[in-house]
Amino acid sequence: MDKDFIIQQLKKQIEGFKAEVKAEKVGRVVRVGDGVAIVAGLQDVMVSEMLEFGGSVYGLALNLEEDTIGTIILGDYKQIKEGDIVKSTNRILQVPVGDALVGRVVNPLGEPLDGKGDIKTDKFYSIEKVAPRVITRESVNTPLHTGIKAIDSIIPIGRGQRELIIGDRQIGKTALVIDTIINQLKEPKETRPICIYVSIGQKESKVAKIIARFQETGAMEYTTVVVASAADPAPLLYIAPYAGCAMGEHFMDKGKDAVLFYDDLSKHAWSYRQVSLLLRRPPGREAYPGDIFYLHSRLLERAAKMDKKHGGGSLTALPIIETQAGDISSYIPTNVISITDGQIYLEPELFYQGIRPALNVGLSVSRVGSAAQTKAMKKVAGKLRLDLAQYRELAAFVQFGAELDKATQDRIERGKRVTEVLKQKQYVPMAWEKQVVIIYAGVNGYLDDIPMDNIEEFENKFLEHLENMHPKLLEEIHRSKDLSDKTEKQLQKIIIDFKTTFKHAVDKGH
Amino acid sequence: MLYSPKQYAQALYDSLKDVKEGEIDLIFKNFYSILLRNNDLKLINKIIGKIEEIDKEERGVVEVEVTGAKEIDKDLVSKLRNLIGKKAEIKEKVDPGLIGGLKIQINDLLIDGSIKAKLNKLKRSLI
Repeated sequence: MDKDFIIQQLKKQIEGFKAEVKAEKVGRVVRVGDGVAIVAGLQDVMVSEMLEFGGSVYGLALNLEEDTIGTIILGDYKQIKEGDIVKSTNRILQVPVGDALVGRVVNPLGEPLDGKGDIKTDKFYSIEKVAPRVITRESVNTPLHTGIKAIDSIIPIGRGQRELIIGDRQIGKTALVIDTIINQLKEPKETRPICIYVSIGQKESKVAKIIARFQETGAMEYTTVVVASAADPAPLLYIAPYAGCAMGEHFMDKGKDAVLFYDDLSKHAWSYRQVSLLLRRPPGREAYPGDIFYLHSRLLERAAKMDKKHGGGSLTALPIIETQAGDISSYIPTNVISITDGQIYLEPELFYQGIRPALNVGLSVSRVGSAAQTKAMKKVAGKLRLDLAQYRELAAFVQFGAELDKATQDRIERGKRVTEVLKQKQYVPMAWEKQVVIIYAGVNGYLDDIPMDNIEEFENKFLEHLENMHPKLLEEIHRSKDLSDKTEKQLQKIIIDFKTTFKHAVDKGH
Repeated sequence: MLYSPKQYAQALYDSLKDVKEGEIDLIFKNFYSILLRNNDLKLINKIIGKIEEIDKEERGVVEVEVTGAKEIDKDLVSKLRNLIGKKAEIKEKVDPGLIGGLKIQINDLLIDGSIKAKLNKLKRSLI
């Protein structure tokens, strides 16, 4: 660009600038430290109003007391000194929302972190909003496919649902989330939900890895990542999920679908505990403040499925809770379990047995999702659930090595195979129609005579075979969302034919 | 029962309002013993500060702080005094960092007409 041109531009801008002198309400910092500041003065300030400290640091008024205001500082509090002037802004904390945020990595204030330039949007949503009222809602009726066989079949999730993912550290909670986001690639563009991944108090290295994975698979195209890392001050961690929620609500209001992933709410609760204790709010159980339940309930209540009159959009919430040594009965887990519409429980024991994803099918539930399941999936899932329940009951006998009658033995063998079918590698979410087909084969006994070691190979080869030789069948299931008698017969024939060739190949191989 | 410094100050101020010559000592003595009993002697500095505030408020005195980049013109100060009308207690300060113009603070109200503030605003509008 021409040097003179820049100067001309600058001149124009400066000429047009008028500095009005206005009277402003100000207060003074009385005490500051650890991310909170006590401010004297500023008598007309609102709750959760933004306050300006010096030049560029903003704070949030949380405690309004007789002479002072307790504020949390969103940014670097070390710049702030005692006696500094604090200005009110008459604005409730807002974040930018809209299409400009899709594909971006931002902090909880909506500022870009990915170096891809400004976020150009003129729309702002305040981070705290009352959840949609009953009249405007509709019951969940559209499935959200996660691409994970065990979830889509047994614990189905619907758009607008709140499903908790709970488990110990290093057990694959985030893996489920990443797979779910990647799986949305399979959705047609018009109905594909916008994914918003809110990372709260995670290691930056982990977040960087996740973002790289999104970019690699193309999932970043419809994903926003909100990052408040472990190094950010606690107030930023505290507002992160609300900011992410506001970004998602914008899409819901426009009649689109959005999915929010809060990774994780345990750390969110810790950050709120820190802020509350520093603001001298009275501590309660486990030193959490009295409104810790409301903290999460008002957040998760904002997930909704709107009815046709109100745009028909939806906001699905998949919060994550990290437990300590598998204890799901401690304070925060029980709170969030009671707020959500079900939970996906991951168990270390299963993980070490090699059952991955380590879903405990018995303890995991989805209270509303089955209403949204496709007919085809419903047909196979009923049997699957029964097979697994019976297997769980009998599994104890296997360890005794007790002599069992034929029927019982058959049930155990079936259960083993079905469990094997539900195993899935990370980063390979599966289209739901393929899930239906392979589960169908499992629960109808077509895998009973295949050795356990060959099940995975059979699954891969069979699905490959279907894709190459019978793509029409998969298309038919996908289109009709049902497994009609005709398709079922066709499928049975294909499975039987394929089994003979598969057995041949295996025999030859040995 | 816990009392805030403001409550102590208000109570002391009220009891000292119309009092006879000989009773002042007694009131202070009583006040001292109350503080001692409530273990609140550490609040004494805050209470004194609050009494000053209450006193100013009762007498209708407004605290005004005028900051300029250079020594402030005496004419300007008297003009300001007339403008505010009420009994204004004007404090003058010099802060070369303002570059030019004036900054006037009346209680919680700030009128910033300094060059520094204008430059800051310009900076924000440009970025």
